[in-house]
Amino acid sequence: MTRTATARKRNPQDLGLWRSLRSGDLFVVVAVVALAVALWSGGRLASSQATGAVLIRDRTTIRTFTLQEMNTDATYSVESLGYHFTIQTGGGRIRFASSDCPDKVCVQTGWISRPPQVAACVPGHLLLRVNGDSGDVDVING
Amino acid sequence: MSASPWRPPTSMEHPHAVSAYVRRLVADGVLVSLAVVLSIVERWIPLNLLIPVPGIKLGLANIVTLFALYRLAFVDAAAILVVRCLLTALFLGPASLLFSLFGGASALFVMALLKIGDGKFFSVYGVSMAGAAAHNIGQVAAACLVLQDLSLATSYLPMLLLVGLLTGLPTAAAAVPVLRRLKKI
Repeated sequence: MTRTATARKRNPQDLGLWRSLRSGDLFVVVAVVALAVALWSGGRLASSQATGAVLIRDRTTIRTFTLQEMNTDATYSVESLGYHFTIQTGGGRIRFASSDCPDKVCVQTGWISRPPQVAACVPGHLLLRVNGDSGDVDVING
Repeated sequence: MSASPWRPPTSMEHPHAVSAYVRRLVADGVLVSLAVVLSIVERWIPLNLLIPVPGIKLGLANIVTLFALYRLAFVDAAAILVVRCLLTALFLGPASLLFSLFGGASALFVMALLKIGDGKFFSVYGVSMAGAAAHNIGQVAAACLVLQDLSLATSYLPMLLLVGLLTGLPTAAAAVPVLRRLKKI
């Protein structure tokens, strides 16, 4: 990282991409990746094998799906805060098949089958979560 | 730029002070409208096709926040951010207001912090990537508050953080030429 006297005088924003990078940028990348890995493995540690799924609204469980139910092809209609959702199961998986909420993030999440995967609809306050070995543990480490 | 007065100048003040104030007011207004347009336009970009993570955005409005931080002052960037969020909610519906405010505010604070030293420690690219990551953290925090459940932090946030590193680069790449050409505003 040696810079000539003329380059030092120039504004860093005048340089090309590679020469304008600072050591702090690497720190940002490392820190963000480390945080992502830590959060991810923190969720992984809790469980590995799916034991079922739960649909939660504002901390209360609306419905539980057993592993058998997740293996059977079926659809369920759910209404929450004025929005209408279809939840579909089959092949050990579960998903929001359709929704009339504004952002559709819940539907875009697609199928979930392994803990601690979740599909959430924030406008409808709905959280669909695959539960694992340790049952209904909802403690987050770290 | 930050030397120009925050309050409206009185008629007794030097004409230069008046024009600096008007200049700043106009710059903030132009940046607000630009940020609103970028917020709306980025919804048309199907980024999901490229990176299959639900709910991700490029964060184009962050270009404006970056620019305001580097060329105006923190108060300008904060004011532009709040007005942008309110106006966007007016156009696109209030459902996302909480999220854009939480995400935008965390991005703003982190970027203002990393900007200290004016490029000695972090380049615009690093600042932008950190801002994108902070934006995602803020949004997931807001979602966790609404849902009263922390599972999104371990299941969804890690993906968003990594995506933020990717989307932070093009927004910085868009901001850099503007910053280079507009030394004064």
